[in-house]
Amino acid sequence: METRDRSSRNDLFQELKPHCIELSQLALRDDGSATSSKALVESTNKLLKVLQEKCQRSDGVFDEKLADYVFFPLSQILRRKQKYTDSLSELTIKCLKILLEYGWRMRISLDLAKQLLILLTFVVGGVPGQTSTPPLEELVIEAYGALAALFRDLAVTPGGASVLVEPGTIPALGHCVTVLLDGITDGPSQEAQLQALSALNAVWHCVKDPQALSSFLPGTISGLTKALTPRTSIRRSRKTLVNALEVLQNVLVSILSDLRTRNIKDIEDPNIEKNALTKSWLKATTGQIKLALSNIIKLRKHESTDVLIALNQLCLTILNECHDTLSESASILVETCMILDGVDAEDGVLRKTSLTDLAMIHPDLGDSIKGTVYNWVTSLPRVMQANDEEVKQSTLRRLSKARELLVSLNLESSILEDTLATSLRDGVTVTLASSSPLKALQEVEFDLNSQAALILTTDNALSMSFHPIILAEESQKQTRSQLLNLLSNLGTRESQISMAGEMLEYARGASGLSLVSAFWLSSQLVRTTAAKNQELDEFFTSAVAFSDEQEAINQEIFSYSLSILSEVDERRSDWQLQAIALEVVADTALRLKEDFRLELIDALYPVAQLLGSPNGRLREHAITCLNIVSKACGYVNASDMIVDNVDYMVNAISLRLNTFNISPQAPQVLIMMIRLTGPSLLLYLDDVVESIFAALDNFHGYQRLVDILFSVLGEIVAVGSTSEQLQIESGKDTDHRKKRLQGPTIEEIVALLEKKAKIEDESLAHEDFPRAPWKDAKTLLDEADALTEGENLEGDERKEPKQEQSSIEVQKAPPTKIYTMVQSIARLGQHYLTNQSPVLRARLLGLVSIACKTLCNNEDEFLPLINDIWPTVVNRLYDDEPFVVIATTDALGEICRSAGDFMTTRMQTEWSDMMKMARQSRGKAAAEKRGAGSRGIYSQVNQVWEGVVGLFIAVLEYVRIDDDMFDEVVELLEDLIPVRRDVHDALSVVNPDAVWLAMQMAGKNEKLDRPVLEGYEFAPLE
Amino acid sequence: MSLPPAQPAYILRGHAAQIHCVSFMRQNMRLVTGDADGWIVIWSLATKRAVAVWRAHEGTLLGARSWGSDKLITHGKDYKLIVWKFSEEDESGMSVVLPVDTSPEPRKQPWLLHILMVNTMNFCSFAQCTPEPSPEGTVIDDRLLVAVPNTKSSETVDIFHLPSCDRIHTVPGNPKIKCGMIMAIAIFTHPETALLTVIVGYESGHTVLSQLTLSQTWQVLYTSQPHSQPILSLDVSPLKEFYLTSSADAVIAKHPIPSSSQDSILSIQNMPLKSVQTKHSGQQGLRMRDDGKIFATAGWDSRVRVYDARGVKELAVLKWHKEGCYAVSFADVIKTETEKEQSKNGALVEMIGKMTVREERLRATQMAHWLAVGSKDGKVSLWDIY
Repeated sequence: METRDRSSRNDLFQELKPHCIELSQLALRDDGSATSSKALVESTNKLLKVLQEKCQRSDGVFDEKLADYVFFPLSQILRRKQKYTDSLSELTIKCLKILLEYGWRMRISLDLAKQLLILLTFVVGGVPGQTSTPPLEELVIEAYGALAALFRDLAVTPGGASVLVEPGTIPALGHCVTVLLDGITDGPSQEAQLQALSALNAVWHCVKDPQALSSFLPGTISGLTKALTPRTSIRRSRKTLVNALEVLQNVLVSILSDLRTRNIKDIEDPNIEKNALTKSWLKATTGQIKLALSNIIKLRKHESTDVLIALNQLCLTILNECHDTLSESASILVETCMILDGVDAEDGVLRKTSLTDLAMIHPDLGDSIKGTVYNWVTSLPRVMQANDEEVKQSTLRRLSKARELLVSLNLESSILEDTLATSLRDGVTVTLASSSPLKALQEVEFDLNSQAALILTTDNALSMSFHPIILAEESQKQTRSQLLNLLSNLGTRESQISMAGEMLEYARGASGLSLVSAFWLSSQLVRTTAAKNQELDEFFTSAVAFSDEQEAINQEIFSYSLSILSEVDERRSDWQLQAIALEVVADTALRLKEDFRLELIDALYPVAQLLGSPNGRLREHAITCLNIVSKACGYVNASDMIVDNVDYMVNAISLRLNTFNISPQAPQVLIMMIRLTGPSLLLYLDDVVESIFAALDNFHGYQRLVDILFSVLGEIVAVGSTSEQLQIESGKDTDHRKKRLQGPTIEEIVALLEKKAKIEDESLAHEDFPRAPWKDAKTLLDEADALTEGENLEGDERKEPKQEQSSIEVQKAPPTKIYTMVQSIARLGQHYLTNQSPVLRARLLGLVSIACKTLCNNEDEFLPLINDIWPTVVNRLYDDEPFVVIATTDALGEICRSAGDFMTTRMQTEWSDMMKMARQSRGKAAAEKRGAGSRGIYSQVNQVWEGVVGLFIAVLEYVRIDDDMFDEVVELLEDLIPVRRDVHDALSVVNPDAVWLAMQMAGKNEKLDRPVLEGYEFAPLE
Repeated sequence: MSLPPAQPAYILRGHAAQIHCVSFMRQNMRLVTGDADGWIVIWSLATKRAVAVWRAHEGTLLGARSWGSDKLITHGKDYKLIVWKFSEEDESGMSVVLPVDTSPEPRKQPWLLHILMVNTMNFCSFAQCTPEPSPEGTVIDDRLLVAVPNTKSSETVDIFHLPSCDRIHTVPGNPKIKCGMIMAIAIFTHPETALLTVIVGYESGHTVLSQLTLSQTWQVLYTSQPHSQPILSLDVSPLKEFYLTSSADAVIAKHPIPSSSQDSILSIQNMPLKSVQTKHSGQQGLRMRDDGKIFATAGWDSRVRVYDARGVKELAVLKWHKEGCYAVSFADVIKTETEKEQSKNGALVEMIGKMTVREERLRATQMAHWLAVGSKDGKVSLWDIY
């Protein structure tokens, strides 16, 4: 071994020797000329190569003696140098560095070390007092590296540490540290900073004397703090920061760890003046350090995980090692740790000391953890008020983590929980407050007649998830999920339930936004506990997991939600509140599954009525809720569910209408129900219709309500007219259509004549004369009686029902329920035909015409109705609004078609007015046609005229009228006879000759050839 | 005074004709309603929907009551009194299409147990009671006495025995007075003497209480004429201490129930305990709740009135129907004794905990103090009061 070492040393020496000699000679001969310096560079370079190749080893071959040998020529170069700015010095330093790193690894001559310290410091920092150009970056890096190596060497060299703190060296060391710190803060590159840091670290490892260290401490701390304080001007690399943090950790631990400071506390001797490490010093220092740390921990917002991990490590180490000394800073460190908790979650293999562990060791940390949480909690509302979503998110995330921490430390307290509840509520409240102006914008005037409630009938929008109500904007998504996360981690299930209960209790007494937020939080808590319960259910039998409190709170919040949904007064109920209530209903349905069907008695209508809400988001919510509920209850879709449970909804609507508790949504929902369910529903609506009548009586001044109520009645009539009940009943088909009188055809005449001839041919057949007298009427009647009595012999008791039955048969069956309903609606409608709203008038007239079509089959009931409504309907013909007039002509036409000749006398009395109106209308239409910019057949006057023509066609076809009246019609319509086939036909039914004449007058008849017959002369037709 | 007028909890729609009888069965789980067309509808009170619909009689229904939990007696104007087998299992397979929605397919009827051909002279419904318990004290469920007006004589009452369908008694009227037709009957065994007792209300406004003496003869114990108009209904208090009559006039009278002939003054006319002029004429369907605290009448003026049974004082007026009401019925007041027992064992908590939501809902329905009202408009309103 020895020999091999020796021989390899020898080899190395042999290799180094020529270069060293050469360099040494060159250095000696150097005269500053370009050639010599070039040669020097080359030679140094060669030496460096050798050093790099051969000497970077730590097997002891390259020992301090060889290093000394190599250093000799280098020292020559360095000695001659005034400035160390050229490449030669760089190479030299590089060589030196290798020497320091390897050659003097185990031992260095102390004098040399001192010199080198000064030299290297000068290389980097320049000579104090002289202004020098800043050295090259590479040079600086090498120099720092060399310094670091130097301190490491000194640390291992016996006496090395103490030589540094000798009074003579201290200034140099001080200068060196200053230079290093400058390098750390203002180093030209990241590499330089890193090297400086490692050099500084080496200093602190090397120097053991607390006196000296303490004197460097303020500078070091402030320098490092400067480096670590985030600034906008300089962006430091992650690595620098990580290293700096590590160095700082070393620095602090080395001098301020509890182990060291314990002595200070013990030695309470003011006489020892030399000893600067007094208690007062310590106090001042810790204050300073707290300041520094408070700057440094700003790094916790750094985006890089490495830095965060390092910072966390720093904090933890300080908390651990310097627990007593730096107790002042504990709170900020704890806070930082809590914020950073979990950053090193990735490398879970290495279980490090965590805050939890520390808190278990040091109970006082628990208090500061609590305090921190408390502060966070109380500041939550303020944070939530701000606009910075990121801050909100991180705050919420922190809170969730803090909760976990508290749970793991068993530090939960009811005060904290209460505060959290309050804060959450306030936080949500302010969030709501900030978003409320948006809501105001959204609420636009909503048309009650719009058929929003009918979305279900047409559009099977299958949205199964709610749009969020709280923090609804896209940008708030993260915040929301964090908030929900926090809620779901909020302590045990029991405490969550109790908190939900308290929130609900609070909500009952609250109003406005705080009510909304309390209710929302409560609903969310209930939801998470329910979810947890389900998880438990998977592991335990239901008896274990099922909790009474859970069920109670579920029930409570559900009934509260229903009460919110049933609140009719819109001014008092907030849409957000209702939306939350909808979510609760949906959740309950999901939980109860098919059992929820029973709840539909009370729940379905309040939910469905929101389909008619003026608020779009609420409508969406209602649809979603219906979808979810229908799925949960096992229905195919929402409309299926409504059809299936329509009786519950009818009941709800009826009870509400009965108390005149009318929200505008109810009629809309009713329309939807009728449309979905069809005529069979009408059977159950009789009292609802009655209530609507009563409502119309009571609220006839409320135009919109009247409007919408009539739209319900219109829907009933429309659906009722499709009812089978009405169609089955129509025994006879009443057709009032007039037939054209047919003249006898030749065949008929022939048949008639033949028959007559036949009768004349046939003689009467032979018949015997009667042998018995003809029976008289009385005996015949008796016989008939006897027969019926025979049938009734079975018993007296049977007689009665038989008679009853027969009497029933004779009696005409009363009209069906639907018939009476439609009839009463039509009858009622007349009172509103004078209503101020033209739209309503037109709608009513449409209703009348549908009803007529439906009802005409039962003439006994129908004709009295026509008698009743006729006067008001016909008066609408003279309405100011053209479209009402058009509707009237349609309705009158329909009346004529269904009532037929019944209308004759009524037409007669009305005739003159009608004709007047018709002529005016014709005149207007003609004028419009002539005028410039005519809109042709689409103009209003033209359409009115069209309506009038249609009415007269109906009259002609279905109602018998006098000849005078007919003539007037022909005169009125004469222009149309040739061009309009329907007019022509209608008139022809009554009197074809008159039509022919009119055609002839207009010259529209086909030219008739004058017949030619021999011997006759036909007059020309003019 | 400040309370808003009471509102019904639910309206059961579906009868096409006026409703003549309502009664609860199976511990308030079912409501039986019958209408003038002979239709019977059995409603589930939990779902508020029909579970069985059939046409029991060709004529107007006069009465429908349950007999135990699995039998139903209906009395119609078609001279029949029918006992149907109607247990919970029989419900499945029954049509649930309501009478108002006439469907072409024939409705299934429940299994027929007995048919009695009886008199239906007027609107007097049958009355029922179980015969006095056999000496061993075991109550035999399959025996029943049914009282109906006599077929021939309008003043006497026939008592039939079920299941034998024999006529076992004919109760004569009070021979001293002219009473007219029977309008209402009640039958029970007297709690003290265990004697069969029959109360009859007459067209003349008389009411007569007769008892079957040990010598198997009928003895009139009480006769009174508190009403000037025909009696419409009567009901006996649950403990058989007194009974109430209502009539077409506005009087409601409270009568004593003498236990034996010694108690009764053997005059022609006795005075009722109390006679109250309500000023609302035409109250029928008088029913007392089974706790004996309150009773209600259905008024022809479409209002239902609830009275305090002790003082015959009007407590509430229920108004929803727009047409006259004919029948009322109280749900049984179910005592929570079972609960108390269980809490002794400490098992209550567990039981409630184990109850599913559905069970809880059913329980709530069962415990509710329902009042059902049947009206001429074919609707039944359910009120949750007192």
